[in-house]
Amino acid sequence: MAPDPLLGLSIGELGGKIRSGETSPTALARAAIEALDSAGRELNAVTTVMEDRAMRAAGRAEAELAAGHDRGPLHGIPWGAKDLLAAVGAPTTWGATPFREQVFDFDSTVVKKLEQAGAVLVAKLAMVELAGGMGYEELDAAWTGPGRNPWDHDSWAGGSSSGSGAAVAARLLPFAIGSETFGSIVTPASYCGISGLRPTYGRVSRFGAMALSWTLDKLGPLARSAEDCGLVLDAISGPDENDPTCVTRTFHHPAPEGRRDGFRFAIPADWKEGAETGIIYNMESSLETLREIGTVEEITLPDMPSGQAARIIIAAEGASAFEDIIEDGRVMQLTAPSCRVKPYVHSMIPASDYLRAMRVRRHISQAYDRITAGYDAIIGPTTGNVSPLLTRTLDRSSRPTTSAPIGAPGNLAGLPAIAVPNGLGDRGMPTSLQFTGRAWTESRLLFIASEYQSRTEHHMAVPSA
Amino acid sequence: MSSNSGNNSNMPPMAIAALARFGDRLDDEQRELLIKTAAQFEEAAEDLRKWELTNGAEPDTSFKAIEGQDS
Repeated sequence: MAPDPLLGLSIGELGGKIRSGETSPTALARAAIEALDSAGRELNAVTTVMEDRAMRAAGRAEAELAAGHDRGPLHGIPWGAKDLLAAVGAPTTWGATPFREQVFDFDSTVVKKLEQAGAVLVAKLAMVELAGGMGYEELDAAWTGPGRNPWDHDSWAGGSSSGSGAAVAARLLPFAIGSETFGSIVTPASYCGISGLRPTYGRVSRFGAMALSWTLDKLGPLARSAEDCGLVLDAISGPDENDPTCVTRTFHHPAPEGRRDGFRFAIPADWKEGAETGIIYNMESSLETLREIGTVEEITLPDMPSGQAARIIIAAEGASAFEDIIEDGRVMQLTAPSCRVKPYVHSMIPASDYLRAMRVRRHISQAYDRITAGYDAIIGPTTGNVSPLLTRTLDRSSRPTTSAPIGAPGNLAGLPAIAVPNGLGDRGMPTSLQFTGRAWTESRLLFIASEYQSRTEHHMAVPSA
Repeated sequence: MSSNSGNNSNMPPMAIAALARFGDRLDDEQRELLIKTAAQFEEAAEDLRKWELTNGAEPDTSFKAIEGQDS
């Protein structure tokens, strides 16, 4: 059965239909539950459909609207949580067999905030086991099986927020929450042809979310458009006494009307290096569009060991976060054979190497703050390739994926980025354009990405698989 | 033959440590992957050591004392 077409609408469109009586929160929740339970399972995008909780929340949302209590744009909108967010009413498995029975008796802050905004949590969504922190090479690294891409079920949805990307792209949900330590929001957004926002580190509370790397983990939305990402970020951002890294700065969307053009974009001079032909073609087309609203300058990014620093920091922090299952051997229950071995090495990283990486990181953060301060956004393809076939592996020697040159420093420096679709490439799979900005400039990035989407229709494309 | 039973002189120190502690859980293929992974981390650490740091270059962490009451 095909998913209800209403689920393919934007948050704004759905909100309009709810308030006009064309649909209702309970009808939408029911439609999402059915879609996730059928098409979502085929994509291996779902861990748990939360029917009881969803229908109760939807009923509440409906009654509130009937009583004139409108919580705002997300009121009555169904959504899904990457299965690393604690939520009452379902196990929180972190995508990993050793935690399949894990249950929390509290909601993570993001779940609470979305509930306060009236959104209706309908499912926990599949993810790469332990958010990929154990160094997976296999694309089926999850107890739910390989994350399948709605554009081609034999291709990967991306990781580690696989289910979040696939469910939104397949029009099973208007939005989902994912997490990014190193590419885990923007990569599935790119591969699945949707919009994904990685907020500035500290913008969104991570209380109740699985910790992989305390100094790199971020939570953010995957949605139909930049506009929808902004609406979700507005609801989930803000201070939280339970997360000491969460800042008190406020974020509001939409931001007050700003300039509509005259933007300054920079693109790394070597952006074509290693990129597929279709990626290059679509990026050049995007550049033409962006020149309608600003200038594009080629820049040379500094040669700094960003990838190496990120690799050591994530491995060392991950080994500490999961020390229990490394020590007692439960890592051997993980799905990916590589994840049963690499954590043993991660746990042996010398403290001096970790600290050196953190010292170099400060230099990287300072350098990229200076670079991003000069532009409204650094742009480039989100990934240098379209989604790989599931038969491939991520072995470093034959790596079928390449990320944006600013991916590693951007994550190390905690910079925000938004990935938006910019066409179809090899095998008819989506390609993506990424905007990275200075810390705390999400409003500007969202405005620019929305301007881009107002001039293109790539974000409207529907998977044909 | 298990990979940690022979000459360890060319093995990355992290691999030696990991095998000493966890080697009995691994088969030969897994030990090979462990050694390869350790070599990759050693390489990354070596790259970082090439980056010049002064004594005053602090790690990018933000430790602060918990704000309690004055005694």
